[in-house]
Amino acid sequence: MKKFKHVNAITIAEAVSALSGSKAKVIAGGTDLLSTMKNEILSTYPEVIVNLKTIPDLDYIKEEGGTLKIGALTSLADVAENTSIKSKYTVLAKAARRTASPHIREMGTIGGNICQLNRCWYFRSPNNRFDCLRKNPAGLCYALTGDNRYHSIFGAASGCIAVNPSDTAPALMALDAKIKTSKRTISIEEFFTVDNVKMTVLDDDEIVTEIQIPEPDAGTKSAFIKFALRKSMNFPIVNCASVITNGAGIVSVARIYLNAVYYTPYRATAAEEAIAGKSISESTAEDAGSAAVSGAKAVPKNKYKVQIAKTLVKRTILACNVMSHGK
Amino acid sequence: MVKELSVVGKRVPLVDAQARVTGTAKYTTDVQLEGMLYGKILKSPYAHAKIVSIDTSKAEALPGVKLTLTYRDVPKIQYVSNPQTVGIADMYVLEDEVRCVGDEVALVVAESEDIAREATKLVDIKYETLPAVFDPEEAIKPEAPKVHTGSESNILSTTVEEWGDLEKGFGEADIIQEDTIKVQRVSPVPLEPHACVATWDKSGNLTVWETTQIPFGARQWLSKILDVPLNKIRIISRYVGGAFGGKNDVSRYLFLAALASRKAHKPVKIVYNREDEFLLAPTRHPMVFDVKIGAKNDGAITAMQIKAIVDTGNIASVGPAQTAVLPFLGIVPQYIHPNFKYEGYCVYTNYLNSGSYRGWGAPEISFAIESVLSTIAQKLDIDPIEFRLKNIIPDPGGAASVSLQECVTKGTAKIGWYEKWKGYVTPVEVNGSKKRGIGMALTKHDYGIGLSSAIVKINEDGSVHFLTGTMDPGTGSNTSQAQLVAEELKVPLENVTVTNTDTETTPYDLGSYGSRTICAGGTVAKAAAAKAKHKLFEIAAPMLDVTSDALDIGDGRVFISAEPEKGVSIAEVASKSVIIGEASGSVLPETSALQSLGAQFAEVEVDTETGQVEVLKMVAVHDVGKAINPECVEGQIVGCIKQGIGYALSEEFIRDPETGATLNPSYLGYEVYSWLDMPKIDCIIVETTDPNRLTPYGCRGVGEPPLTTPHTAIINAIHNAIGIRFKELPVTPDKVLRALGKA
Repeated sequence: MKKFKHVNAITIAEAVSALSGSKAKVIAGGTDLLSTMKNEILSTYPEVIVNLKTIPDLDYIKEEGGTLKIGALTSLADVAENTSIKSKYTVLAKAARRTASPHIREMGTIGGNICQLNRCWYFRSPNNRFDCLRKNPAGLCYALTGDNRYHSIFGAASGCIAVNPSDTAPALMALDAKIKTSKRTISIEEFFTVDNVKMTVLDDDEIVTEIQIPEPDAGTKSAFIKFALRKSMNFPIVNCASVITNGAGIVSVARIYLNAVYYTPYRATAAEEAIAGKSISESTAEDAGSAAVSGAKAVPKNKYKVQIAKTLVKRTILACNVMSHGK
Repeated sequence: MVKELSVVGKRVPLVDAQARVTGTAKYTTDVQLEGMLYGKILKSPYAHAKIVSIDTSKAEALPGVKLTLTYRDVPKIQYVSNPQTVGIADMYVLEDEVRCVGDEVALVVAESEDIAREATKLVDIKYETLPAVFDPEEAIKPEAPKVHTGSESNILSTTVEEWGDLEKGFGEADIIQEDTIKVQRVSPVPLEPHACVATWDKSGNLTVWETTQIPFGARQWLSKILDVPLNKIRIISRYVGGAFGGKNDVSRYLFLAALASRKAHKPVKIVYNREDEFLLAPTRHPMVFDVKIGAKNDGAITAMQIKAIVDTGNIASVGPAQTAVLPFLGIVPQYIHPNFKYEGYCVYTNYLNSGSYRGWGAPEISFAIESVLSTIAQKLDIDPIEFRLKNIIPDPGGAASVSLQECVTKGTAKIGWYEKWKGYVTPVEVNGSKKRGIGMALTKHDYGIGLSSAIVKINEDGSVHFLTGTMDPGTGSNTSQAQLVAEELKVPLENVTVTNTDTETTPYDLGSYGSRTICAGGTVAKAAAAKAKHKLFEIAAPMLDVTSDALDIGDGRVFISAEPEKGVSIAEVASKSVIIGEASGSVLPETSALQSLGAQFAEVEVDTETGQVEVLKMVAVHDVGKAINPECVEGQIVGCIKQGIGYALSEEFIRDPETGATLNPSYLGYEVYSWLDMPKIDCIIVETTDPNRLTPYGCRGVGEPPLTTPHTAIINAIHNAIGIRFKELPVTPDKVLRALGKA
């Protein structure tokens, strides 16, 4: 690890100002940032680290006027264990609970979890040993010709097939959350609307401060399933979050998101359309699963992820038939 | 008269449990010496390259850096990393040719590990890259690039074993099955990575703390390379945090630490980080087997032909020895095969070091043979258990047959085999897309032999010091051996203090590997205690006015057997003279067929929509002769099964096909299972006694036998669940889905 300046910010304004005009990064839990610094995988090594943990009142979970508000510094463990989230926003509690390991859930924050860098073993190889195009526009995507078993099944972003590995992001998207930053409040959909190698739309001097989730409508059910080789620690091979509102046994609204399949969380629009207006059954769920992956573009080693994505979409939809929360 | 055992066979807590769990146990990484420096190894970025130039001046100029070592600074003495390998010397401490991504290039020594690490980046090296070969099946071809430049072939050794008449055997067969079976490279993944601290005193004495299974081998190799006599080298390996065979080589870092310390006149510490541990420590050999087996319609094997390509990586280590003995390992020789041929090729590749790993070839070849035999049994529709018992008759009617039968009987009952089994490709249960299956396999394993020695001293208050050269990597071998000593002297276990693995104070031991510690170490521990007891009797005899053969020991007293009330305390006897018992020797090669036998059973569930295989239950039945400490035996069984499940389903080194770089050298990337992923494991201990055995109470090694089997039982269970026989490990979801036509 190289030397850097460490700033304990007391206010968001102070943090933003410390970020402006310098090669700076924010740190909250640090579970992602520290490994990128130790392994020196960032194209520009940070000269300043701005600590957000010293800013008071960014760690909270509260319900206000039909909206759940989660402070950006709230730990994943707290999100996973919160009674209100567990009962009304089950999909999020489950996603947080399935993230990493107990230690990392204590350290890692919800804000950090949705801002984390992508996963790709070429990108993350220590000391930038692969001249990866995420770091150098003249570089190559080594995953495209190398071992791509964990990479995107829906194509590349500017030539890169790395994936967004967040477990909580698809859950928050399925819940139609809003992201409040030091500059603006935007839908999480917009938050992830990036078309290049950026992870989110955040500016270099912009900080996530709060996540806002509208209370689900009556008759809404949700489910989260993560597929990984181990029951703890791992990033997902594929995960899926579905939030489905039923009226009179018919799906009125379905929000279905996959992650670890694309460079951003992937909205399975075709699956949502397939299930909308239908009652949930083995066959309608199966059709929705197939629809979800109809546009898949697997690379040589990850065709199996298409089958898993399809299965998770089907299973989360079916789970929404039995798991219940809402008003 | 059979005396009741007071401590042997009891579930006593480990003698060092408190030290280990309270953090007071001093592992090598805990060693802190005044003025100590830290070494960091610079690793090669290329799979194969010649170092054209190497300039360390910028690194040395970094404040805090004390020195660097490159190939120019090390003795020009060739050696082999494993002291048990004879007739080969294929490496130097450092060289101007690197043979895998991660190969050691240089050492940087600084006041802190951070500075040393930063300085490794300042070493300016010009490489001339050379062609590399990663796949052993490619490396064996004559036209392949040579891993060791200048050598004529990548084939390091060839072994051929044959008997009977192969052609005749296949001619007699009603069915012939041929398959190619591949097993992958896996890491032992010890919790404690490799670590050493080296320091010299002003008289030229070298003291080294190292986490090693072979302290005396390490001493011998240091002596040879550094040209220092054995009496001036002291190796201490008191506490070791897991080894599993991976600490059975003398790795380069040990020489580097000693050389750097001599040059700097300061202690030097080198600790592998997790990446170093994955890339520099020995791993299990990847192997490719072409197996052809012929059998009669009744299941009798008529001929067996095996070709094995053993990928030893970039150095020899134990590759040639393992290649030579493969057909005699594990369950393989237990199958009756009158006509047999084995060809083994040990091959260099430009990838990581293969070496020793728990089981040492037996898990690999047992899987290959069992896979093909399972297919034969299936095609002949002979029950898998019946098929095996028919073909495995170690000593017809004898103790081993009885033992194996007992293991099978107990295991089938525990897992409910006969209630569940509905035939080879009929799953035992189907729940939607999830299918359950059961599978089994048998094991047989030799325990290692070789020289061990022990000293038992009785103090003047009757307490006991037990000195052993064996190392306890967490297996509980210190405790089990102390139980043997306590039993022999009939003293409470807490009266016995164990000192282990310090080449200056504890006597010679070949090494704690090959399931040998309780057998080889235990034999001499018990013998040393018996000698000490005999000395007690000799001194006590005149005190009690009898001859020493009239005496017995118990409750801290030496007494007259016929008149137990007449006696003297051990303390009283021991204060009359110095009581030291010592014993050394090799456990003789086993003459009895009754070795470590066992049977394992697996129940798995295959999710046919995701390809995930979950092991629901394992039943492991092992005949260990006598469990000196049943809890330690169970610990070994459970640990083996954990590693076997990883071998079967998840663990592998993932190599970039182009550069040869390892893509997953971390706990995150290398899918070693955690306890959350473990199934319920039922351990059943069988104790078949054999009067011919020379080990204490007829005990057998159990460190490795339970790892020759779990992957085979699991793969058989997967076959039962979905009707697919996997011939390549690990069986990951992508392979399952591909086999099911879903990917």
